[in-house]
This record gives sequence, structure tokens and C-alpha cells, in this order.
Amino acid sequence: MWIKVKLYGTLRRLASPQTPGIWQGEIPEGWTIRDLLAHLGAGRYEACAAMINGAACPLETEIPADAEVVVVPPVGGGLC
Amino acid sequence: MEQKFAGFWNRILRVDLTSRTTQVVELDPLLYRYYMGGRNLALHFLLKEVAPDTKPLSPQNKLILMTSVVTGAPISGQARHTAAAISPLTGGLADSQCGGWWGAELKFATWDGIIIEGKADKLVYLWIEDEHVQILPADDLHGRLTHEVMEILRNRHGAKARTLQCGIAGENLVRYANITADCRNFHGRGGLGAVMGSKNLRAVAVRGTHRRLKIADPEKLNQIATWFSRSVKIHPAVSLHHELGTSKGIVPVSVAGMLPTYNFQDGSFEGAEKIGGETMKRELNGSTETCYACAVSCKRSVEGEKGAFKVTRNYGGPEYESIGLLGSNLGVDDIYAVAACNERCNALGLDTISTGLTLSWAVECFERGLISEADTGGLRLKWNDPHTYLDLIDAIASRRGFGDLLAEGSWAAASKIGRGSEKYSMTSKGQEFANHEPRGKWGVALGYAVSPTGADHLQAAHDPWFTNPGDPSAEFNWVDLTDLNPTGILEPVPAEDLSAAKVRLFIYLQYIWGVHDVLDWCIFTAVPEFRAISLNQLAEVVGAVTGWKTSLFEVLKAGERGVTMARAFNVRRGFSADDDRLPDRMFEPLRGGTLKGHCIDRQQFERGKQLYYAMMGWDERGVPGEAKLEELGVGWVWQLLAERSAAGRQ
Ligand code: SF4
Repeated sequence: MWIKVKLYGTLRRLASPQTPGIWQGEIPEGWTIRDLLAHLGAGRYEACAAMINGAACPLETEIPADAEVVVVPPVGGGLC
Repeated sequence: MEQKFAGFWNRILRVDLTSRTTQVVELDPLLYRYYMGGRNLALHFLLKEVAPDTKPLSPQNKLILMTSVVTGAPISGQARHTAAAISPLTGGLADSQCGGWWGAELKFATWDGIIIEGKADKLVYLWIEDEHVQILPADDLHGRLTHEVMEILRNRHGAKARTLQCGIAGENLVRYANITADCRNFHGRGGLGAVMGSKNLRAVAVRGTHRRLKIADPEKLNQIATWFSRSVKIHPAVSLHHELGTSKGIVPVSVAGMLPTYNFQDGSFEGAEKIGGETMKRELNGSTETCYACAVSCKRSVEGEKGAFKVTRNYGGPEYESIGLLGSNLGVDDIYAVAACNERCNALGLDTISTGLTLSWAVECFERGLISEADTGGLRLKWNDPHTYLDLIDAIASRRGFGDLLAEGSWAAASKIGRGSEKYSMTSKGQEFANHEPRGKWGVALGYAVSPTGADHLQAAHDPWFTNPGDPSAEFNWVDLTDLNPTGILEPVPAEDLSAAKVRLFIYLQYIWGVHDVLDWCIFTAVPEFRAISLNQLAEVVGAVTGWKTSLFEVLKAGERGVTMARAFNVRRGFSADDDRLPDRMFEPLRGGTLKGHCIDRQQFERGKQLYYAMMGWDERGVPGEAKLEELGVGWVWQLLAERSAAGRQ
């Protein structure tokens, strides 16, 4: 199924080169945000919070089809 | 002139504006090693020379401008300098570090710092050209925007002159007026601009020609600088910092639920993406700028126009703090409007942080019926109303109408108005919070409360970074504890926690950030979450510049010395543990956002405070003990505290 992921902070390096900060693609049904991050090559502790379709959710949440996912690293403020 | 000491001149300029005289102050060179510079050197003079009952805006207050032993060295990160005085906003210490080029320029002019005392009978400015110092009339600078003043001074003294100035807000003694370096960098907090204005001093322009400072081991410094430049290029967090600057934090912090929104009622903002770093980069035709000798180059210059919102390159672009507090915190979701309000504050010399929160206090009070049109002079206040905010920013700087009340800051304004409006002033010690919601990171809450300068987000690195153990095998760890390991911090601690482990973590981080304030070192290069350069390397930089056989231990001790001297300064001013407090809102559940319902546990907070005092070697009232001050090598500060309590008893 097709999803769009917005990546922030150092996670931006995992985005597609043509679309800075954004990764779009097919993933298998049943994947959680953690599965997706492992697939993209994120570090074990690199993500901290996420949203699916604008609503905050744990990283263990299963991703629905056509979702827009936002993932952020641990945040400080202007430093992150 | 020959520089006798590697790292410093041992020349501090004393300017008495009342008598219009200047003098060169020399110190025992050993003091440079004890203090290392910045905040510590400033506190040395403030503690010794300013009577504890001095009024902040009186001629007896002193404005201290100071560099450190590494300022002006050819390496990224050393470009800051310190300004300190008694704060007209809090009544305690104002101590602020500002980036840019001015600090290095002062050093190139053969000065380590300036002590400004007294009050000129008419508006003046200082012109420093190497050893030569002139106090010159500033009638033509009066009432002018900061950029106009900078241009006039550069036309008069050369395009290479570096300027430090208070704005119209400083001239009008707005209690949170700032001081700006070349209109791009700021001593934002604590009302230092009002202290400058109270002395009838509009600007300090400087040009130095001794541009090759004496470095004890240039080869070693060059080695570290080269490593550092490489690290800056390949480190993912730093290269992102170069690309987007601090504005990149807005959206992630909102997603994490810690972006101040509607005067700290919510922690996430529905319009965050519209004011975040990516939008700013896309919408406002921006470019990057840098500070003296810095390879990171994270500063923004922006321009653009949309309707009434015009943004020019005369001032730096908005940073994370300003975007949040003039944006989400006021419900504003238009980056042009935010940038225009930011530019207006910079042009007039207002701290964007205190301005944003004083405005949001007024809006919330109006919404709750605690302030009416009778108070505002007929204005109806509401969220997301940037046109009105722009008018109010002008009114604050000129102390016109309702602006005169707002110019006192939200706490003093609330105390004047009463009607329960104090509850909505998001302040500690009278200074407004920064763009960080502490209910998701309790170390920040402790930092806001115990900070000697009133609420301040730069007391220590923030909790979320230290909630996982990290991966020591990675060349560049993303975010974890490994960089703190050399200090003995080995285990992660949850963000919403104030246990003994958190207090210990906070204290070590406070020393580390204290080192930055002492060395006038930029936090965007060496603090743990950035670590383009490690803490051990920072100590090596000090050694290479000065020739001292120093260590991380000695450097951290200098950081600790500053934290405790700052505390002693406030104790002499009558501050106690009762002043280390937070607004009630922090102990009530967040209304909305990702962390909806989260709040700080009051019992843990109070216990955490007591643990903090005890671990610092202070008593239960937060007063530094004799043994601790002796251990820090500043036993003379204990004498000052003892004299004060003896005077109190009489
Ligand atoms: S990292 Fe940014 S703020 Fe710090 S010295 Fe470099 S350019 Fe200036």
C-alpha cells in the first residue's frame, strides 16, 4: 500500500533525494511506524514522536493505507 | 601594542559616563585562569563593585561587556561575548551571550572587556579604535531604528566598524529592551538594552587592527580547527543546522507536543508547518550568514513581502524562539507576519521572547475578561491578529498608551492590573518563559525556576536528548548520552521526571552550558546534542590558545563557578528559594496537543529543587555555603554574603 512520510531533524537524510524531507512509497500491510523506520535505516533511538493523518500516535501504531505519517527525532528546540 | 598573554590582553576598559573619563583595568593574570572569561569575569566586577541595593536603572548599576580567553581565535564557535548587569526585568542578574563579530573585534582592538558605569548627561556613543577610546555625542542617533544607527556609524567610522547598540526601546527604558550586535545578533534577555539606555549610551562601535591574536600553540589549534571544519560538514545535525538554522525545530517540537501555543495553553499548533523552517526557506527568499570564523554558518537573512508584511535583509531572519513566541504562541500561522513582527522588534530593540509572551498574556487576559478596552485604549485583542501586534510592538517601544503598561513585562503589568491576571503571566522571577513547554521536559522546568536570570531555556540541554542510552559504536551518534559519558553520566533518564538521577543530569548539563557562557562559546557547536566538537576537545582548545595545561575537569569547574557566583549575586539582591517558582499553569494539565493532559508533579518539583540545592552545595534556602564557595576558589564571595546577612540582622 502507498504512504507518504514527512521526516524531520536528522531523519530527513532518509527522505527520497528528489523530495527533501519526504519519503513516498509502497509498504506491506500491517507495518508499524517502527517497522517502516527500520526499513528506511533509522537508528534505533532516532525517532521520538509521530503523527498519522495529523493525530499524534505511538511509534508502535500500524500504518493505514494512504496515510500521511510524520516522524520526528527527540527534540530540544532550535537545535533539533 | 604587544600582547603579553596568550588568550588575553589583561586590559579591561573602564568608562565612567558621568565624568566622561576612561581608565585601563589590569587584573592578576591568575584570575583569567580561574574565570576564563564571559559570565565569570563579569560577575567578578558586578559582585565586587555594585552595591547589593543598587537600582537597575540608576547610574550605580554597571553594564559589563566581556570576552573570554578564546574569543577571536581562528576556530568555529568562539564568536560570542557577554553582557551583564542588574536586570530591570527581574531585579536579579542579567547575563547574556551574543554571537556575531563584535566580541572578536573588541579583542582585536586590544580589549578583553568594558565596564560601563555612571550616566552621561546627554545621549552618547563610544568609538573604540584599537587603544583609542572616544565618548562622542549621539544626538543624531536618538530615536532612530537600529539599522539606521548602524549605517550612520559605519558611514562615519568605516564599513568595517562593528556596532553594539540598544534601540529606541532601550532609550525608552522598556524593561525587556535588548542590545543588538550589527542588527543580527542579540543580548536578548533581561532588559540589558534598558540598562544601556538608562546610561544615555546608545552604541559602542569598535574597530581593531590586531587581528592575529597571540595563540600559545597555533599548530594544535589549527589541527582541532581542521578536524572541526570536517566534522561540521559531515555531521548530520550540524549540516541540517546550516541548511535550515534554528527554524527547523518548529514542526518537530509541535509534533512532540512542546511548542508553546496560545500562551502555553496547548503544546501543538495546527499551523506549525506554515511557520516552520521549510516554509520559511521556501517563502522568504533566504540565504545563510555566519559569525566570526564559524564554518557552521547557521544564521538566516530573509526578505519578502505579502500585503502589509514586509521583511528586509536589514535584520537577521527569525530564529526558533521568535517564530514560536510571535507565531504559535499568539496563534499566528503566517510566516510573513511572524517575520515582520520579528523585524519590527529588532528594528526597535525589543526582546522577541518577552514581547511575544507579554502580548500573549494580554490577549489571554482580554479573552478571559480580565482586561477590557478601557485598559487597551479601545483595542480589541484576539489571537492571530498580527496587524494589531505590529501596532502594539511600536506602542511598547515608544511606551505609548497601553504599550506603556506592556513595556513593564507581563509580570509587572499583571501585578499593576491585578484581577487575577498574574495567573496568565508565564514567567519566573519576572522574566517570560522561552519557546519551550516544560510540561514535556521537566529538567527545563527546573531550569526555568532556578535560573539566576529568570526563566531561561539555556540553563542546560533539554531532557528528550538523554532518554536513551545511545550507540557508542556509531561515528556520529544521533542523539544520546554517549557524549556525556566522560562526565560520568551513563544512564538515560525519562523526560518527565525530577528524580535524583534527573537532578544530577541537570546539574552536569548546567555546568556544561555554564562553560559555554564562561568561554563565550556558541552552543550550536559543542553542547552534547551537537558535539561537532566534543567537550574534551573544547578543553583542548582552551589549552592550545592559552598554553595552560588544562582539562575537562578544570573547564567544567569554571562553569560551576559561574553558576554559584550568579546565585550568590542574586542572594545579595534578596532572592531566595521562594523566587525559584513556576506559574500554576505548569502544574495543571496541558489543554491540547500531543501531550494533552500532561503536567508537572508539584511534589516532585519541590523535592527536585531541594535536591538541586543540596547537590550544588547550597542550603535549603538556596544560599551557597562557605565550604562550596571556598572549594570553588571564590571564598571572598562568602564574605560578601556574610556581610549581607549581618546587615540584614541589624
Ligand atoms: S553555529 Fe551559528 S550562531 Fe553559532 S557561531 Fe556559528 S554561525 Fe554563529
